Amino acid sequence: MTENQKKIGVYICHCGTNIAGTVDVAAVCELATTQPGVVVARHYKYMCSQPGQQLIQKDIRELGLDAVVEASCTPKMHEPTFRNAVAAAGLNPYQFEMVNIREHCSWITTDRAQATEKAKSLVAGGVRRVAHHQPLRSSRETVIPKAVVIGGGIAGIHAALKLADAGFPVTLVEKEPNIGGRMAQFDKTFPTLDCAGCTLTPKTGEIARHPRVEILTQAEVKAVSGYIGNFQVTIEQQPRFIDVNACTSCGLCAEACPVQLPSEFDFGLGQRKAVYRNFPQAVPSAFAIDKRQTCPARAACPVNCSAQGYLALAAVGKYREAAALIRETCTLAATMGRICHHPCEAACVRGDYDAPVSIRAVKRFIMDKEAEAGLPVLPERHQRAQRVVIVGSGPAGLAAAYDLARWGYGVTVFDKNEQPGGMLLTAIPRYRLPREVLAQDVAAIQAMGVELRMGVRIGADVTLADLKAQGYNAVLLAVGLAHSRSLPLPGVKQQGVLLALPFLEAVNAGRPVAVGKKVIVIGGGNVACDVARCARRLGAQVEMACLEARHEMPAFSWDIAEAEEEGVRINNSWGPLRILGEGGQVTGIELKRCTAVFDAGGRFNPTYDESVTTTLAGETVILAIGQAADLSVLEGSQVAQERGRLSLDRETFSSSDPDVFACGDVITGPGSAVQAMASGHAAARSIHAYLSEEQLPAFSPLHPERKGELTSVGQSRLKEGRPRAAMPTRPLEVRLRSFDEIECGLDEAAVHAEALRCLACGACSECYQCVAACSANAIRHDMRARTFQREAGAIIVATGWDSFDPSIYAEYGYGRYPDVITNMQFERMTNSSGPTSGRVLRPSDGSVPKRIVFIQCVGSRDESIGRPFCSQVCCMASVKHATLFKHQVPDGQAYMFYIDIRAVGKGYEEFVRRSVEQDGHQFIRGRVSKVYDRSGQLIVRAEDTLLGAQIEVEADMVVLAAGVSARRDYAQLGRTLGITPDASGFYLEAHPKLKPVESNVGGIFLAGMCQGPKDIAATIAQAGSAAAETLVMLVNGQVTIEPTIAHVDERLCTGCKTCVGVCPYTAIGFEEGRKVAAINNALCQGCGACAAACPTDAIAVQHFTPTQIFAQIEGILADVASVASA
Amino acid sequence: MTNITSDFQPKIISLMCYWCAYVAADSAGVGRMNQPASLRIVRLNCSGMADPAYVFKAFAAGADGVLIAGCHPGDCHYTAGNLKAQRRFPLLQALLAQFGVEPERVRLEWIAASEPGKLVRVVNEMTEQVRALGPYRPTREVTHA
Repeated sequence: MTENQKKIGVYICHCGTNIAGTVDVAAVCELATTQPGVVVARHYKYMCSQPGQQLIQKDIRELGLDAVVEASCTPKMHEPTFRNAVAAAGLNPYQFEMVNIREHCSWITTDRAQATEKAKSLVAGGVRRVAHHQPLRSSRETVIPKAVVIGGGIAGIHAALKLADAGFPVTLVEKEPNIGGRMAQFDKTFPTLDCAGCTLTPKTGEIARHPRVEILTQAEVKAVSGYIGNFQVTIEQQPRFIDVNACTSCGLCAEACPVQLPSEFDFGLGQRKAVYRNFPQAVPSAFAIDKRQTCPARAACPVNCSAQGYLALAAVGKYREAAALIRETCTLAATMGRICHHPCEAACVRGDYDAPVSIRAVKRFIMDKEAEAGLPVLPERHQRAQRVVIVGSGPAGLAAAYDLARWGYGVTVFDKNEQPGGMLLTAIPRYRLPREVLAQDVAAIQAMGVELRMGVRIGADVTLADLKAQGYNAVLLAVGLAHSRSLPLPGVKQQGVLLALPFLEAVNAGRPVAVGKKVIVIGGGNVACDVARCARRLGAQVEMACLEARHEMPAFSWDIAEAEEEGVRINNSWGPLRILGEGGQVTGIELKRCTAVFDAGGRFNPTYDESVTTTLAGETVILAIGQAADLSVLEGSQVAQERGRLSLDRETFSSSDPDVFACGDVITGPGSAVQAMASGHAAARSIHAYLSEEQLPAFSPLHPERKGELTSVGQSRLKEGRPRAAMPTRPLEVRLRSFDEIECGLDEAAVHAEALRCLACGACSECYQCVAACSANAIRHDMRARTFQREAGAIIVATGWDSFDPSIYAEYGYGRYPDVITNMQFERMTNSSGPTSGRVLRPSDGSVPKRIVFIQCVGSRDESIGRPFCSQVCCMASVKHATLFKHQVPDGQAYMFYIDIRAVGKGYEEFVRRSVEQDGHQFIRGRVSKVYDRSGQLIVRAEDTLLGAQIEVEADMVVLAAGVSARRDYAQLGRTLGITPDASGFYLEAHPKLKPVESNVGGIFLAGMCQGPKDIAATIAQAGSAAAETLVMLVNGQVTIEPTIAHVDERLCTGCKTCVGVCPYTAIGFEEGRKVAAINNALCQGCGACAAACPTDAIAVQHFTPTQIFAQIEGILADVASVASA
Repeated sequence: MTNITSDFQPKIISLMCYWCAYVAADSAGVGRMNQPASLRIVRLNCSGMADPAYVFKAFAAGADGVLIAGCHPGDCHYTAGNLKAQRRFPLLQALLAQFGVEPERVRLEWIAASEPGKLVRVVNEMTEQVRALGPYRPTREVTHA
């Protein structure tokens, strides 16, 4: 019994014999008549036919039916047909229920009794459900009159052109730097042997010129929101690093580029540069730079010296260009080649595999080459009227001086010393940095126009105020930390106690320094090591004592190791207690145990155990325990100080006097020379901004954190397994006798090998040779990814396909034998703009092959690897290839091993026949079991299934007909769009026959290979069809939105807002006034998450209400219930 | 008590997502993949729409088993409705156990549109399991799990 007094008609379809062959339709019909409310039940051969529909319509009119149940095929197929039919007869289309008794019933079993029983229960469920259906009205939504086409191959181009020609704006999104897709890689097309390029390029040209088409290359769809007619599409475009509009496609950049990469466009057969264009007629014709990231070594460098760049240049012997590149960022280039602590090497990705590239050693070699060549190659210098004074000629001061001079300022550097270099001159021992190397850098800086005024003490000889009065516009203080710190120890005033910096200064200046036989150095930093090692060279026995345990010592590990090598003894975890002496002359030092150097907060705060002491004997004690700033330069100026330090704006490096800036150790505390240079560069930018009001952005590395897949070059270089070059050094006994340089440098062969250890992480090395080569000024290395938002009424997916990788079949030897190639590689070979300029040549030796074996169905029709489908194009492609080969090599012979030859398109069979008859290809039916190398000769072994015999064929080249694969990223794009791929990764069409271009999402259409393998003709036909479907929407301007969306029963809503939180579309708002949930009909997609979550059943999705579903379940199980209660 | 015999044909109500599992069921039919006629599919827009009340209703009305089938995690047509179904499921199982419903009678499965084979496997497995348990008869007693 039902309360509902609806008059229901039930119609059972035979579907020919599809249903009636298994289901006893008469019995189902009979059962239907017993169901509550049913006034008529009929069965008919084809309910979907015109007479079938008329049957229903007649009953509606004559019997006054209120609702209809149709039991036939899946609603995915004919629900719209029947809804329209009942609507045409005056019934609300939602007073209808479709019961699936074909796909879910007659087609899954041959058991007639069971199928009939199941059909009965499903029909009973449908009847009970429809009794509770409500009349619903679909709404109409305006369609955004624009489209997005994803994929710029021939399918995408064709569809986009049709839409644009019809008057609608289209955004074409292409992942590659150019449009054209796979067709651009082909040479000729079957069966006519037309030139693929000649057919394609008119279309690429046309679309590039089309005023209504926006082409976004190197772009991918990242997110899609909205619904049919109203999509919001988020597109991310990767940087091209070249201004498409400025580039004249002259190709000089590629000539200059030192980076060679295997060409993906040629499937690895040819090479391309890091700046490249896939083929001459590419659209857009601009080149693109393949830059994945800034090399992590460069990113780790304080001055961002382009490590991969100069390694790449060194690898091709461009040492002058490399030196110039280094000088771009590393002012003291030669010096850094000697003494840099090379944080780049710690970051070098090669270090993750074996050992980092010896980057500093290569830099040293490059700069030595510069010295040999004479004057450095310097960049262009600008001219400005303003003048800047720099106080201090250490690394910070000189770096700033060089930059400011380059930008056109008049720069004068003052230093109290007679020679420039600061600590590099006075503190770094000659055995690490020969002075002529420093002089090489100073000469470059002077050549840039920097004036050096040595031996002038600012503050004493001249004051800052004097300088300003002389017309200098800014002052940069780069005075470093010139004072050695002492300690208030008992006995520190005695003869024989020295301070580190004066000691090093004297030694470095070559002045005689008297030290005792035994020297004790206090301190554990690099300065302490330098002092100790200098003292060794003066002939003393040397002991170091420091607070830190070995692993805590601030000196670089290699510095400590070298000191020990030279015989320095290191006493760790000792602090000085007092200096011992006799008659005012030092005799040793008493030390106390240091128990901890740092406190819990990590601050320097040593604690001691004074009950544990030791004594070291020695006539000289040198304190190397730290440095302090000498701010006497400020004498007579108003620049503010704070506890012996400059007060400074950390952002702009400016002091309390806006004209006075500071940089280097004096503001950062003690650090490395390269860090001081970095500080100098930053201060120079700040001064420039102050004086010119022009902001020069600091270098910003591209994805420095990225540690993804190695580039193909990186992979092959890693495989070569070259070990890291060891730096040759002078023998120990020679070292200790003089201050001669320890390191001897790598020779050219070692440098070349080392440069080829670079894994080329960035692909582009950032060597900037392209920038120099480009006369159009089109290179933009600072380009970054951009995001575009586009709205669209419809989306066409035309993402194409990937070629199957046949290396999974070990028996074919692909990847092992160079002359075993794929069909796409062969295709590139035959293309006149391809890697062999159109000639068929063996990759192994470049010779012309005479016998080519084509192996069909490689990765197609093979269940064992999960690829049961036919790729559809390989047979024809291989016949085409064989024919092209024969035309090129008239005495050549093609053999084709096939399973079946599928030549099902128009003119295809004729083409195959012609090629057999005219070109004499041998077709052998059978699967190849093995390709192997018999003393340098490739042998193809197979079974000839027609002869029933094993055969072997000698081959000069083997071409594998690698099948069609779904795009590698099909799943990701599928998720983004909400469209469903099939088991092979091709997107599912809404219906294999009736809706071949619709996806399962309204408003998203499919075209070309992304939906399944097909040839070019079919691809274009499908693209046209997708465009037509899109135009139906765009031209109508409106779409129907199903009324099956959520509805709130405000009487039941308690205002708990649970639904608001679960809605994935933010379609549920809350009416604060009435405290009830409110549905935004345009946003609701009808998923029902809210309905299931609502604790009071106040929300239901229309047409899927609990009442309807309960009734359906009851109906389905009605016969069981009656049995159980009986 | 009915006699449990091997020809006992269980009735399994399936609450099915219309985007994935329903398509798989269609494809299984199109592919003429033989399977027991035990499944009774109730079409839902999303597995996230499967109100636990529907499951109770099915057992109350005489179902021998209930199969909820949705898209694989990450593939939901409505972003994450399937995950909502997944989160509800353990609670539902615990509650059903207290009403004496054996755990084998209720399943939640991810079946993509491209997986008709999986659908058939699930139907086979579940039919066998439920057949072994025999028809579902509601008990009066509430047992504590």
